[in-house]
Amino acid sequence: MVTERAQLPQLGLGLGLRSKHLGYILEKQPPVGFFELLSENYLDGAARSNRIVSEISERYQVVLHGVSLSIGSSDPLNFEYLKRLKKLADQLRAPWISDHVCWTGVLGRNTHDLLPIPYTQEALTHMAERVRVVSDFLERPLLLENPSSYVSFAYSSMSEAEFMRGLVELSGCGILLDINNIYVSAKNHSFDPVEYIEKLPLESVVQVHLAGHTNKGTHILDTHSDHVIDEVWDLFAHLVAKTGPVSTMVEWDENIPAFEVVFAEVRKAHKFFTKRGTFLHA
Amino acid sequence: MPSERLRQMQSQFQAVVVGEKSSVDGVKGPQRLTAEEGLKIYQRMYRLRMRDALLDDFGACATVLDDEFRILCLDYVTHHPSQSYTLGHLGRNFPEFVSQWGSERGKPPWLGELACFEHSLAEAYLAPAAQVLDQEWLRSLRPEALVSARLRASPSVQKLAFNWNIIALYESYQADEPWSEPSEMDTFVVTYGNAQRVSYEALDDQGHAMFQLLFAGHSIEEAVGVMELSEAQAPRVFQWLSRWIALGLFDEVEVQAT
Repeated sequence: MVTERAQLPQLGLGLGLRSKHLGYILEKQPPVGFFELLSENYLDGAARSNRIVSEISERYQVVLHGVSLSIGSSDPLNFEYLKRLKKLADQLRAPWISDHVCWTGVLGRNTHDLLPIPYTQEALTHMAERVRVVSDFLERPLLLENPSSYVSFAYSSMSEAEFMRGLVELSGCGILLDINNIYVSAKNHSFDPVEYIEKLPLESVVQVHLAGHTNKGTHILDTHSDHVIDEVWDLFAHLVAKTGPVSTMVEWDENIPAFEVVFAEVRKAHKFFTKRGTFLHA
Repeated sequence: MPSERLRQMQSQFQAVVVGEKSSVDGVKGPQRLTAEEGLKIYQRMYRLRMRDALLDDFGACATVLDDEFRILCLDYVTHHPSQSYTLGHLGRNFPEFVSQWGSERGKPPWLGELACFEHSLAEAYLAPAAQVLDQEWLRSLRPEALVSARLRASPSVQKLAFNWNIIALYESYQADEPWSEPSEMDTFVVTYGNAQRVSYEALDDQGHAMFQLLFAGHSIEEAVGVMELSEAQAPRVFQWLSRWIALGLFDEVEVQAT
């Protein structure tokens, strides 16, 4: 069964939780719709992470976003990791868990990078099988995020958007659509980002990521280090004109400014939603 | 089951990312870069990510080594690549590696000790929560029950002994002040952490001896006996206990029934 947005809560405008902002958030309790926690930072049951998890989840809706699921890897799935992830999601009552359409390592190693997949039928079948296993194990909707990439594969037989659609249809996963990643990859690999969005099964887009990037002239790096640029907002507007309000958040991981700056960035999304109705805050 | 082609591609790709190879069959670069240049982006990001993770835990070592820290990190992850879902424990073998790496390159003999100290603080940061003993517990005990108590160190606690005063150097680094070469001297320290913070407590010779005995499972009475402390030194023992319990260094106790 395909994960559809309508079956899941609409959490409003959120932010990625960063330790730099923790004190401010707990003291001021800003009206953020949800916080996204980087799963791997909270899986060890450390005293400090337990405290953060407990204090944030008492006040806010929380979702989990991971970088080590390695769903496209040819290595076996790591069930110890999944066990811890499930326990954390249960503890937080997270409505969904997300990770990336990528692999992070093979032969027992983890590069901790989101490495690209060839968009072939065999990679699609392999990944879809693993998504079904993981979703069953986690007993929660799994969303997968489109990656940004700096190389592609000559033997890919479909576009990334077609691969995402196939993955949704074969595995039932939802989509975490990173608009900045679409922009970055579109510039790097010269495809039309609007066409990309049009090809996706938009009813399965459950969450949206927005972020800034670094333009190196010859290519663009997905650095999450700046404000969201106008072209990315335009793509976002194009998306929400079709989908209506979707749980949306800003990621900011380098040169992280004060909380108010990051919060102001995500609140810019309001104006795009009001054209299609009231945005629902959690 | 993944196809052989997927396995091969991923094996090649990973070898490029970690710097063991320079090309992957069938890969195309972005429109304005070659395939090799595109792959180099992943390689650079990998190196930066590993270095940043180690820098988080070994900032004082990085300050001492300056530009060479980058080379050390690269050498280290070549020998000890991450095999975990988290980068939190990437530095597990770093102190031992630094000692060896440093001695082969004529680096200061205290560098490994500095790495060991920083690593113990990083581990304390990741230690599980514990229900530690507090001052109220101490006050509630009758003296005879206290002397028979066997205390257990809480999970974050590590007891360290160094040959160099690397704590002075670490404190200069923390204060963002110029550091100077540590002097050669016996240095004893306990590192610990809780949900709020990670810290350390320097111990003098006697404090260290007492802590070591308690850490090894001796009761307070037994430790006093081994150290041949006189009755006049009892207040000092109580001061140590009071201080260590206030810091949350012990989480379990076995008190002999009377």
